[in-house]
Amino acid sequence: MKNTRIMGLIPCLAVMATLGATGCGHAPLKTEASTSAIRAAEEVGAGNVPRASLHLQLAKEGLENAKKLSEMGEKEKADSMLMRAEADAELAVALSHEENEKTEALAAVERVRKLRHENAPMKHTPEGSHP
Amino acid sequence: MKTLRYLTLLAGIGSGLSCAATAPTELTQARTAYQRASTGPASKAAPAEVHVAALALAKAEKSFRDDDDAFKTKDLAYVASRKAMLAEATASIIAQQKTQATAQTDFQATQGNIVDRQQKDLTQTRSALDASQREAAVAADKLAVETAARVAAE
Repeated sequence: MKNTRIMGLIPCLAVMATLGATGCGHAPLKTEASTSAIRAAEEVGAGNVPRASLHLQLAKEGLENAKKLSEMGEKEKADSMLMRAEADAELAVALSHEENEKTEALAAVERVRKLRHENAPMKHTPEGSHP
Repeated sequence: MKTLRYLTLLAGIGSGLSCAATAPTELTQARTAYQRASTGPASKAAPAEVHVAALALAKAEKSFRDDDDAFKTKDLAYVASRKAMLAEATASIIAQQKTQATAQTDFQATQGNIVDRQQKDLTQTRSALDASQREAAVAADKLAVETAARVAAE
């Protein structure tokens, strides 16, 4: 009687083991790198820089797509999609920095121009002469 | 017989062409992006980033050789393309920082020149004022002497 019950359990255990081995288990998708890259892009103001904003948006969409693929059991595709998202987020950070540096460089050049213009030595024209 | 040989040759060429699979758009774009980055200012300003892009492109190319239609190839190529763009952005950041540093140096040098010029102008103005005051004093003395002489004469 006892043996029969144990024998009955064996198929169930086999099914469970098979499911475990085939990764039925959805190993959780590792989104930390993409998520933190997206957060970093948002923090540097990528949303306000047109070119950076585009890649930030692509990164967010990539992350969402990766989550969907993971839910569908497409682990490998999901991981691959996460790489895209991370690359886009990193690029958004760089493009945002680039824009800030451009703005600061322009301001610095303008400051010099203004200083020179405001302090240009007065040109004395000889009396009676007209330009 | 001759026709058969000709047809066999054509079939061979045809099958050869079909074997050379067309690269996915992502890979073509990645190659173009890398080409641009590796021959542009990024090659000198951001060599490390260009190298990372080269490695990413090599991975995508290998994936394409192994399985030309794999999603992996497209995703790796997409990443490689982004790495190349990242290298270009890094180069641009470095260039902007150099511009800023140069402008800062120019600003300080210009300020220094202005201060020097103003001090020189101030010194000249003081000298002119001193000379003018001396001349006024001499004229006043002369007038006083003349006035005293006139009063004595009267």
